[in-house]
Amino acid sequence: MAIQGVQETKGVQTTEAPQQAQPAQPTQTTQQAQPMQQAQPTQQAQPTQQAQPPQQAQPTQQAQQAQPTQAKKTIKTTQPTLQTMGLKKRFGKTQALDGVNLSVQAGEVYGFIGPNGAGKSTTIRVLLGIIKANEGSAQIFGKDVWRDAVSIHKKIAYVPGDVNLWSNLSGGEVIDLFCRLRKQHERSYRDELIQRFEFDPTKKCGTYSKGNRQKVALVAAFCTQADLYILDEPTSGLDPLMEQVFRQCVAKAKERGATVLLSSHILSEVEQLCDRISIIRAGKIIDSGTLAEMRHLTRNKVVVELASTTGTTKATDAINTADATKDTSATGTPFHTDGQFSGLENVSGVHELSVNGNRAEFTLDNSHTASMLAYFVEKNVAHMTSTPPTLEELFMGHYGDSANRMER
Amino acid sequence: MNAIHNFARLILFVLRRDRIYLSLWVIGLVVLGVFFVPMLPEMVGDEASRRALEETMRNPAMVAMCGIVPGVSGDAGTAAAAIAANSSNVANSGELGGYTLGAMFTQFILVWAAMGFAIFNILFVVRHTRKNEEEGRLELFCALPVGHNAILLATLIVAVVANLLMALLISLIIPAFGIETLDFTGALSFGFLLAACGLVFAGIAAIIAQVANTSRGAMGLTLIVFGVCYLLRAAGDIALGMPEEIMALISPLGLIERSGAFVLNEAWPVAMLALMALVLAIAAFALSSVRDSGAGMLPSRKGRVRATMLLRGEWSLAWRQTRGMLIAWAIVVFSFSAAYGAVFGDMQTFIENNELYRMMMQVQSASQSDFLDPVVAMLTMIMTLIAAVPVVFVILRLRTEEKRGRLEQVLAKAVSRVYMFLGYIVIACVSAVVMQALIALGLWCTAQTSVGDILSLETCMKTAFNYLPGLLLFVGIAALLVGVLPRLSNLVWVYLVFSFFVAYLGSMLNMPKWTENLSPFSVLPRYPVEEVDPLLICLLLVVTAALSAVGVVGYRKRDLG
Repeated sequence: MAIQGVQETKGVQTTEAPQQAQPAQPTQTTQQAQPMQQAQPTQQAQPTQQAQPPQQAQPTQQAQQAQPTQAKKTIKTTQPTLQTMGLKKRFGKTQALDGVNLSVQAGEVYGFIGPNGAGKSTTIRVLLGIIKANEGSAQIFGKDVWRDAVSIHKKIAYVPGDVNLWSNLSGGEVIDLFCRLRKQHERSYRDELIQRFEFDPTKKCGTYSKGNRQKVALVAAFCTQADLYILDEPTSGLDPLMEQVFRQCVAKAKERGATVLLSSHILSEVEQLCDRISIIRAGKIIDSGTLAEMRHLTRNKVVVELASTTGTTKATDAINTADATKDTSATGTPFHTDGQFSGLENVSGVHELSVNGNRAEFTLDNSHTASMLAYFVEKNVAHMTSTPPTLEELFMGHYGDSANRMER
Repeated sequence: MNAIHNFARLILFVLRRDRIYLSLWVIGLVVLGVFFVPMLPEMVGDEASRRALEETMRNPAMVAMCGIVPGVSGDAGTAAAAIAANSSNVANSGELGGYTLGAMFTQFILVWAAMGFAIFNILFVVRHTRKNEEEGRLELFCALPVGHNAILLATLIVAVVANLLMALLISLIIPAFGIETLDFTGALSFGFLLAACGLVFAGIAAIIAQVANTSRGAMGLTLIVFGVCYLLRAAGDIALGMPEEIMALISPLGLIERSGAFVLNEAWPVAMLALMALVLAIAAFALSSVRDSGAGMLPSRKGRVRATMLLRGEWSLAWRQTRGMLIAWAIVVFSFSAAYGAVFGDMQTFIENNELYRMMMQVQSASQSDFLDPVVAMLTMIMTLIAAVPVVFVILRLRTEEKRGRLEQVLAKAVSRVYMFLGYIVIACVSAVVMQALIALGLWCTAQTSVGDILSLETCMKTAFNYLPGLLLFVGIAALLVGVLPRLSNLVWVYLVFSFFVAYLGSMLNMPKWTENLSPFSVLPRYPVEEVDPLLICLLLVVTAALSAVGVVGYRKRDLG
């Protein structure tokens, strides 16, 4: 499952790449001028992860920093829209939920992440009153999710990760049916959403692909004005463009003051949309907080390669040759940096640095992208990739011990 | 060879996946093929009753239902009988112009058993081809070194093996009872006729699975073809000896009768059916080779952009999901009732001469007016049991929706579980009432011509609605199971089959009274013969209501999905 997480994350970057292609030009020309034996294939393998010049990175960083501020504004200390206390659920011998505590405030977008089988969907099914918790309490709008399910459901919209439909009904019919079942007859956005999701409502549901079935649920959810959206991996099967439309829908709902509980294991989606996040594993919430509090979530892994002169005729930076040899011998001592990467370990936001010849790997707090790039401005950078951590890396990094125990 | 690469491994896979499904079908169909054998001598022991039965079975309505037996004297004018005259087998079956026990057996069972075989083959083939494809499993196979026709070949080979196995078992078991004229040769031809007929439908299903757009569509289309085959056979059999008989020869179901199993034992129909199955299978492979996986060949009908006001809530959704099935069953129930009504006159002759049948129908005396009442009661009861099938399906549909994961989305809306459950119960109860009315109407309208005015519509209606509480009891039991013991929902079918056997054969098998009384239909008075018991009806209705209530409460409390 972690694999999917990685792919999705990369996919999102792909969409940003073209915009950044223009400023990246100088780096590319340098590289073409000095055809390197190693650099060329590496670049082809990861064409989307081109170097980000400082001018481009700065606004992105500002946007990301702005998010927590917004989040703080929306969090009020009134009664939470959704609250669970010590939620437990057993299926036979399996303890699916082992004391889940969630508290979602009105108007916030709340991320709910965790690996498969961690209990995300079980929690959501309890919240929807489809299954009953063995212990603990769960309330939405201050009402009990089991007892008052019907009155709660009038004001919520739900999108499951796996949409199963009736093969003898058309997509349009199902959308209307869902709206009517929610007793919401005002559906101003229906046709607009169908258009934006590029969805054909005339086909029978039996012939829809996974992504199209997902669109049925998404259109039905967002064409009415719900107070709470419960989204359980809503974008599974959607292409990146449609995912963008989905994000706009969530943003619009939030603007209106609606609350959103977004369960996902696509970290970039959660990062972009959510004010606060809870991480669940093995039926327990193991971490939760705002994005600012969970800054470590957004630490990227950066790999930088400098243009090396070894074995080339164009010796523009021949001075570095000696240093490079020294560095190779120093492999294995991660914080010993001199020559090409001297002082990098002192740049703020740079962690877990390891150097191998003209190649450096480190993790970087996104908030310090600028200082890192400033450090490299002087360097002859041949290639740079920056990968956000996948959920798996996150678990390995911060909960490694228990995660390893889990695997065993 | 590339197109069928690795099919042998897939055969093992199909067998492994369906080991229980297949075993149950094989056992069920073999039992269907042979269960009647031991009861036969008792039922038509003496010559008079045989002759009466022969008369009854020559009635067009009976022919339409059960078919014909070529080679018996009554059909002397037909081409088949002409062959019979030359056949040495006829000499063996001498008495009664050839209407031997064997001939009777063939006429009673062959068409019905063939229908069972056909349905098995249709379900099995669609399940492993189109259904597999639709659920994305075939794609996984196709990505492996597996030929794109391999799964079709594997499916058909397993179907051939299963059909041959059943044929063999039937042809070994029937002679084992040691009943005169039910010999091994006849049983062999009987068994292999069924297998060959089943395989023709396997071939039809394989072709339609390529053509249709969805597995549901494939199933529906194949069942329509099956229905047409049944009607062609019925029409052709009635027109016996006339040029129109050709209709029955086109239909696999009509073709199997032309062999005259246990009388003539002609081999050509088996050969023709086998050839037909082979041609159909080759055509299916040809279609499968040119088709994209996941796509159909028929133009797909466009659906509505918006739902009409008819699809507005949980009840109308339930109705949309059960509508087609209920209408199809309503047609079946009405036409069978009408067919029974048409044979009242002939039945009278038969029953007057047959003590055992009198016992079965529970006829006390055989005078003109007394005769009809028990027959009406008996046939209405049997039709009620048939009508119970769609009614029970309605309630079980709720469980299907749950298993397919669709309920979750519905219940995430402002939908009360109780209200939704009640919707299914109401649809079931209303359809039960409609079914009973159709039974009464069907019996009455054709009885007008066969026995005249003796039978009033009022009597028919009263008889049918006398059994309604019994039918509703099944709704209650199904509701209880779906609400409280969802995993055991299918147990309701066991009870229905039990009630069917008690109704059909209870009085013949000398079952203990208490066992018989486990079926609601044995407890209810047989109306035109006995008086309606309002107290008992109320009691049954109360029990039904209580069972449903427990089901609803259980449903409200349990986890779904």
